[in-house]
Amino acid sequence: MIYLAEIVDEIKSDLLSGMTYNESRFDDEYIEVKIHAARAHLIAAYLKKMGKFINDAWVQTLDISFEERDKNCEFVTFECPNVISTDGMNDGFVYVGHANGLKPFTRIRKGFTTLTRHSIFLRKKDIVWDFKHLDQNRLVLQFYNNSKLEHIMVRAMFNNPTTIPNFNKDTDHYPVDENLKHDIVQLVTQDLFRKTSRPVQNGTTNIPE
Amino acid sequence: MKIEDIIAAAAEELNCSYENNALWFEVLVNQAIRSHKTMNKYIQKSKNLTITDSKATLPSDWFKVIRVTLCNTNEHYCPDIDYTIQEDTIIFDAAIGIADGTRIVFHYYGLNTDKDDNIIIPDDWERMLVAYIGWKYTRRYINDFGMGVMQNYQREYQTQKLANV
Repeated sequence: MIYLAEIVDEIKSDLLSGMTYNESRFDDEYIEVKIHAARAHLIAAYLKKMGKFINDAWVQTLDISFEERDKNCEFVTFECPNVISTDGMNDGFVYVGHANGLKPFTRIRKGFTTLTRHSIFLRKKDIVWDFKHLDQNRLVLQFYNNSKLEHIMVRAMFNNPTTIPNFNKDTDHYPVDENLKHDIVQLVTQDLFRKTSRPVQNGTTNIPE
Repeated sequence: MKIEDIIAAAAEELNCSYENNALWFEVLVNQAIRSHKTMNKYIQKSKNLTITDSKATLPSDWFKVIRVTLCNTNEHYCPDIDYTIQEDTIIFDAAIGIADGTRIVFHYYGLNTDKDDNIIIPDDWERMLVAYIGWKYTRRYINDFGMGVMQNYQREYQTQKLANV
């Protein structure tokens, strides 16, 4: 089990050259934001360059109940946190489907493309879904062809793993493996070193003019 | 085998998500089947259709029309003169004056279907259809796969297509 606080401590310790004392110039929340961003960036890079194998340790499972039904348009809406974007072929969704985890539903759209204008879509009787960014920053999953749907399961690599409902930073595993943790620590530490290092000023050097 | 089996095999082959690509892959499977000019696996079928407003919806598994006849008298209708087919609809010339509710028999070549009227794809076509999906998918994402991979799928599709004539 890897916890978020453990990664924050490791980064702080690296920034202090391995000397572990409680004092630190860095705010924990700031480092956490950096960790989430580094995780998303590294997973996207792994999927693009390293054969797209998704380690299950990066994935979080979410059981969601329906948010609202639109009877006129016949879709059901579920709120869902944002997922990471990887490349033109994939994003962070690993499974969206039946609550038993065995029946994935088909996705309508991927990026720019939409097949809702194709007659194949009109003949579809299976449940299909789409991920939409609605007004007021509401990110939702919309399901068509079954207005009675109440529970679904989502398995995904979320942008910020701590924003999923009921996630407790102190007790829940942060979705990374040791390899990814190592790369996150390295990336964040390098970034913070670069930001905190100051250029040498001419006035303080001993070089004679 | 079902169309879903072909899509699942292609998603595994291309190491991509099933649910993200299922709709598009279904379109591609239909394209490949329609452009595969063979009568080898097709069987003769017939279905009674009811005309409404000089039109009727054709069965989803039809591939090629054999003949269209009137239900009671067996009178033949001529293609392109008495009727035309647009996508999944047969449209009769209004001048013939076919009354609503008239029953016709649509004789056609089609693939086998299951109890839900979904077509059953011959097992021999799996490699051909997976290769077709592979060709189109790698062409769309050519920057990720490269020209060589795309051409391999294209060649495999052409070879399998010839093998299944």
